Amino acid sequence: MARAVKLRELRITSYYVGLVVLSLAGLMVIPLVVSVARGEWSIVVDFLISAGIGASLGFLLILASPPGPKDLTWSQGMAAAAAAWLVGMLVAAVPYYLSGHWGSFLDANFDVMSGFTTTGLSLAQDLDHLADGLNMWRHFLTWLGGQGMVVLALTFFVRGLPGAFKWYVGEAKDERLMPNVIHTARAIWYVSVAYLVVGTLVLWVVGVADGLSAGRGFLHGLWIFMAAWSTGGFAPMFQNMLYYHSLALEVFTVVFFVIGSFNFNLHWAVWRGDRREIYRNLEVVVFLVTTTAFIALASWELASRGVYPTAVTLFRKGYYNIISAHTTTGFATIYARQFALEWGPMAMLAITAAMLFGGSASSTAGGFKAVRVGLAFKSIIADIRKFLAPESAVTVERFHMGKEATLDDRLARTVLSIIALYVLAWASLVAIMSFFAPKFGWSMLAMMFEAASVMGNVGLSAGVTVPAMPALVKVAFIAGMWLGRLEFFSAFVLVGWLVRGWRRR
Amino acid sequence: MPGESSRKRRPPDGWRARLRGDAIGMLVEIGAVVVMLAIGAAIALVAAGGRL
Repeated sequence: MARAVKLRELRITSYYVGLVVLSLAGLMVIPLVVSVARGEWSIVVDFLISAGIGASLGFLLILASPPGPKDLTWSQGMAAAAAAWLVGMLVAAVPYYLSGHWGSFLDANFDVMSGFTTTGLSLAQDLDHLADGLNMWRHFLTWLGGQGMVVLALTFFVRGLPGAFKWYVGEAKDERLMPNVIHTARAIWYVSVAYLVVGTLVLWVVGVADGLSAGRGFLHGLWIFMAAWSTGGFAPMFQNMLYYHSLALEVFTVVFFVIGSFNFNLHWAVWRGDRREIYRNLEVVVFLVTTTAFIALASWELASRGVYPTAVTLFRKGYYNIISAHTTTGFATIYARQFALEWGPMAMLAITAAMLFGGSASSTAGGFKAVRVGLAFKSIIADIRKFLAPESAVTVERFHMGKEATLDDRLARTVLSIIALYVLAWASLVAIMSFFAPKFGWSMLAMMFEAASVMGNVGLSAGVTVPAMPALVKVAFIAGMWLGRLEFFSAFVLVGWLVRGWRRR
Repeated sequence: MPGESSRKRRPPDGWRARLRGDAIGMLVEIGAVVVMLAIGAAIALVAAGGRL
């Protein structure tokens, strides 16, 4: 009996995973059109094969589900969200692997998970000569990932789906911009597409003014905007933002990726009339305070060591990379090894902490999230106040996130346990890397930096992430990016579910 | 604040007014980030001892 129930649970989950896989297979038409337009015929064939595999798998998963309503329990919703990211990764990696630009299917999966989770680390080989269709797929995946795989699938629904909200929460989003979760998914896309149009136009003009041809300028503008908005950090060229040597591009991309790191609830509130939310919101205040602190620390060291002695170089090479780290974007204006070789310990620690702190909750950004940093700080303040106040006094900590709210013990415990999980996972990645450190010459600071980049879904590298790194480290990084993006609990539920099913056999 | 919740997030009537409101919202967000950039630039200038 228990086994029959278990099988039914699994079959319902397969329906939701199938929806994501089918959506991804359908969306391969976008890079396919780019490849056709650019005459990249071998890539066209790769995408046709991949779409065929994806569509077949998606239909099989949907057909495997039982007939009738497909409501989800909370654990099913979370497991379905976590599984969708993993199965989606396998399907989206097929065109990468077929292209020959990735050394193995594992490397191709690494890049897809990096894109989905808006991390931006890459194991692609000869990136500068990648076909435009593949570049479109890389940047499109990171843009989709910023919004979320579940949000993507929900967008295609015209009517309600019984388990939609539980599935949506499983993707580490719990904000409802509207009462209906499908309308919420569409509102998220509305904001993202509006910025996509404006941002692509701006970056196109900047690219053409900097010397790119109109066609290339458009594609680079589109891709860079997608990577900026989703706080992804992919770029079409190996040197990332350094390739362009453009102050204007750097200024505009900072504006777009900082806005991209804001909570979708904040966008919606400001757009729909509540303008004061922009300076009252706890996450904006925390982000401003922590950014200022990290920039001050790093700037002081980088200037005093003579790494970047003038304000302009400090802004373009120091400030840009720190804020790129803090928003978990990963755009870089220096070479990867320059972090490890030129930046001093204080600047390295500041940027590592910035990557771990991350952007806003319910945004495209990763890391602890500003709201948790703010609430952890308020929780400490509340404890100190309790000690200082008379024993009979009741102390209350308030915060503003769209509305006034009170910090209670349960909320404080949840916040602190998620931060603790991030730190534990970060330390575990450092420990795994340290096994290989003597062979590859990785310093402790470089490993701490790289692990923060993985766990915070950032994408900056101190030179550790290269195609030659050990397979175990690649697998650990894939797991780290997935756990960081889903904020642990959905992934834990999926693993617990599978282990429980295995034991019952 | 009394009456605040009723003022908040009430979408303006009509799609044109709503679109205008959204565009203003976008500008407000961009303006906020420009202020952050200015603070960062000022810190860089101070750290570099005024050298441009």
